Amino acid sequence: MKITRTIIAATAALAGASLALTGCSAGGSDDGSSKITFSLYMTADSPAKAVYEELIDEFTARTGIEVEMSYDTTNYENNIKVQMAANNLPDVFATHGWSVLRYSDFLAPLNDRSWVADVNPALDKSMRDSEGNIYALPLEYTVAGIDVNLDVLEAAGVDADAITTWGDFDDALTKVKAAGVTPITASGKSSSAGNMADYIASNAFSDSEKQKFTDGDFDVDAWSSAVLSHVAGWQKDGYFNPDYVSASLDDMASQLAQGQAAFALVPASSILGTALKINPDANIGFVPVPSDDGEQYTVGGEGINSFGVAKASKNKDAALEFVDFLAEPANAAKVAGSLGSYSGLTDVTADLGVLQASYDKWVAPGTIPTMPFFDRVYLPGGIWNAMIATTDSVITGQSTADDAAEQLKVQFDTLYGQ
Amino acid sequence: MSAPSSAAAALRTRRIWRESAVNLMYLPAVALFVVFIVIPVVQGVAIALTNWDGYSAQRSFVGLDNFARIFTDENFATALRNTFIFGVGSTLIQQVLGLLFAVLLDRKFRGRGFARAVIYLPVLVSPVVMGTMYYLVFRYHQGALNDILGVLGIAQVSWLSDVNVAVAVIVLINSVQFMGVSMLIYLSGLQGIPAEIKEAASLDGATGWRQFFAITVPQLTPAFAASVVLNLIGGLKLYDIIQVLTGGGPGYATNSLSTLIGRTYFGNQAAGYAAAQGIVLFLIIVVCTIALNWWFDRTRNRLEN
Repeated sequence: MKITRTIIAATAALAGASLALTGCSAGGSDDGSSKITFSLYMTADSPAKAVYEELIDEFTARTGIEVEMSYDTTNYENNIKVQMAANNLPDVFATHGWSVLRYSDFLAPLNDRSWVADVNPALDKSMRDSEGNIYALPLEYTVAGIDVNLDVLEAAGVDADAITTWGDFDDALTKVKAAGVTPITASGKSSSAGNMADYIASNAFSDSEKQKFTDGDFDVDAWSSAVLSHVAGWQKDGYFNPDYVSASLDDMASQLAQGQAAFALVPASSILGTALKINPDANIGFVPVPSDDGEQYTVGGEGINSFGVAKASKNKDAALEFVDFLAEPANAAKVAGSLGSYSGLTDVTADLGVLQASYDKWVAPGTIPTMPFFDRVYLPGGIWNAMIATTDSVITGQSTADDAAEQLKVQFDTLYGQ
Repeated sequence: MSAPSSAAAALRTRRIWRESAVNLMYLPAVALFVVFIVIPVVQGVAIALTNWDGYSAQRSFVGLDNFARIFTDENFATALRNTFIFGVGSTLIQQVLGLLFAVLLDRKFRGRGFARAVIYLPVLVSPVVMGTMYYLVFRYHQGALNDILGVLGIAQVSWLSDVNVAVAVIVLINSVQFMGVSMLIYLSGLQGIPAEIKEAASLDGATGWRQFFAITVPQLTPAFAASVVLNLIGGLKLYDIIQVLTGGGPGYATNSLSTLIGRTYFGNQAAGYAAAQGIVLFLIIVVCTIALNWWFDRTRNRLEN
């Protein structure tokens, strides 16, 4: 009997422990208590971290609502996907460009918030669904071109402002290489290969070709000749950094900041912070993306720092209050300034630091169109990883442009059928 | 009559209860096994029959389409080939080095315990840390190896750009990290060989290499079986080191099946196809394990007879 009692006691203890563990894993609180979770797509050394912490303290002091902040970059998307599958999303989280295409089923529409009237209409195409609903607060509006080290270009005899066609760009790369500097820095340890394809594709196709992509018909020849052939040409001519495979975003930032590379095809906001830490005097800016016909453009849309409120949040009122607080012009300006990025709200003006001159020259006049990131509008959700891998295989010489385009078509067809 | 019979019945019930109560002892283990292994495997099979993207509420039944796709997927073929290279390559190197160190450290000498600890120490290091360490060795800029080449006046090399070198480096890191496991298994095997057998062999004139191959190696068959199976399973499931060192690139060239499954599930948002790949990996490991155990059992029986 003693053994039996011991067994029963042990089983009861185990059951109790299991219950306790289950309790630990439960997110949020049932009583609608004043505590919300806030997830950001951000690195630990981002200048924006201190700004968010300051704003959270201010919000808590004002409302009594506590905000539990967490941040990640490497696993952010995977974690959010797992949380979506479990319907256990953070109360407020960064939608990083995907508020409509990926997250809208899980987000509360924010149409009735007062700040929606101030959202830049240029974001409508990427941030509103077919019924006009908006699901995230765009504290960041990404407007990106090709990042340049202006000192390197000047030393190589390249007029950055005169690069309007891909032919001009190729000539500039040749001059930079002749000057002994790496023409393009890219990183196999990040998604920069995908950015490169996105940049080129955004203005590479006619409306009818774009419609074919939207209708689920991936044109292998068009992708190969209009997008990947440029990359293959740069690879063949040895224009990429020799450490491409093992390079990280920080390495890209370092090479651009120290004048070891001339161009980078990623949004400046993703490398600028590190670049200026390495060389505060770096003469970095951006130029519009060239095209075959000389029509320059920038690429952009919903930025990383855009925030939605989970539809199933048990603390929705508190979460909405927090988002409204972030949208207040003074607060939104602090965030945009720390990111060195445009704000998605028209009533917010941020100091863009070293990039201000580029913004003033290329964006402010409003004469150069901003194209949406190609994959977000014309390709099915989930294609991003395959875009990175296939472009990467061209940069490393593992695949020809045609083979890589074929690979991308396989993934396109699968995702389109889902 | 009724009183004694009811007492006997009560006694019988108590005895049955006491005997069956022992089943409660393994109930928690069974419950954990069911919750964390059986249910996920069954769910994995169910997901493999759908086109689920991994997070949305919608999914459609697609039958065996995901399994059929595996046969035409070049990336899967590359990952499968790499998986066998990682598994078999690491296993071979670990057996050779593990046995070598086991034989060397089976002898009595000063500092033997310290040497054993040094060989075993990498097993305790997280594979992510191990991968990161070697990333810092093999990376192009500021990589330790290229810094040494720079000091010697030799041009820097982009080591990880070459797929063959990258695969070899991954095999090497995994082998170095886990050879301590093999060494430990072989050490226990060596210490289990009765001294009389070796003495008898010596008296019969079998010494040195002859004694090693004629006496030691056959006696180590159970240790070989345990070590090979453990290392092979570890090698076939290799994930962390690849993820940190190359991320599966360039392109898809250094993926193992495990990293490809992660990329397929999260990156490509194809949870159904990733589940099908996972089931194939599971079956490969099961078949390899059964085949190896069968072969080692047969070899041991042949040697014993």
